[in-house]
Amino acid sequence: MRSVTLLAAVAILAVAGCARLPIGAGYEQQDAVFGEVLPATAESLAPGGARDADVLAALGPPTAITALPDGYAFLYEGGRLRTRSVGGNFYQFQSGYAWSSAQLAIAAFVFDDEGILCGAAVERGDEGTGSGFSAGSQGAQAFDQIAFLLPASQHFWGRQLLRRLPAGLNRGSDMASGLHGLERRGTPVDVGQRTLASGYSDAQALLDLLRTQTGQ
Amino acid sequence: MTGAWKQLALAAALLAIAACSRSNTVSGVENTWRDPAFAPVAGVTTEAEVLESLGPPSQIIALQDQTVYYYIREDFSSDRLLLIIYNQTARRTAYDRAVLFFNDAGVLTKFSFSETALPRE
Repeated sequence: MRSVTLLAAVAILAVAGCARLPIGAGYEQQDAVFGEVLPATAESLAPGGARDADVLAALGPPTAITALPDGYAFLYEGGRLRTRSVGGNFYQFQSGYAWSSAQLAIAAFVFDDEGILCGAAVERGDEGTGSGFSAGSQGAQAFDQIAFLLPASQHFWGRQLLRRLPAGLNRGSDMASGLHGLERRGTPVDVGQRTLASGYSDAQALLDLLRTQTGQ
Repeated sequence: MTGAWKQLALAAALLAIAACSRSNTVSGVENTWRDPAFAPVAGVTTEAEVLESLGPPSQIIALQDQTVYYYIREDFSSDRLLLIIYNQTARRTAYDRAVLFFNDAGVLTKFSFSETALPRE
């Protein structure tokens, strides 16, 4: 009895340590939380009456601050991401289904050069962000949480000055330095101003951009 | 508890250890603004005093006639449970921030600390 139990324990441990089995099926869930919950008072901050100090007192430090030609702006971000998947594999053949949702709270406040609030937008969402089905040699994918879980760009602000030439030349349009604009997390990076810095638009450019920003 | 049950309990405990992982990464500056001794006063505290108390900020932002010192500390944690047919990952990113605004004379005009206060090391 003892030897059988030990053998079973070793077998279970060996199986549990495998990254992937030739035959398998399972369920996976990924949850991620980032930032703070945006207080309900965010919606009450209206242009005309509130000042920057009122916004700071109500909501705390913003995720990002940027200078604008005639003032400046605050961006607040926080949220909860959920990804679920079921699937199985038989050697190289895989089949599965994945789905995801995001509960996000985003707010932007624009001030004039006197610190008076002249524009405000608050968005709260709780909706699906995609789903995917696969059958073949690739696994199912829904929403990639990495865009929301990368370290804050403030950790790398000095590195912005050391970018490659296309990025350096277009520093005036850069979103990550905190000087030339704001950008919500999750914004596609292969469109808009970021393409000025990436120089070319493909998956490798995205990967390079992420590596440049994170230093990884 | 009989010998067989002890072995089963041991096997279960080993299994649980083998199938769990936890990681924690902290980045950014030390959150010295949580020190009770640091008590900035708008209209009184200067840039030099803040730099002396908190050290170099994570980011310095130039606005029209203001300068913003932005301090941030980030705490990322990940808990994973891998049981072959049931896998679960929970990630949490928390930020402890402080922003301080100075006028062109270098005097503090307003400031704010985040509601989340990460523990100091």
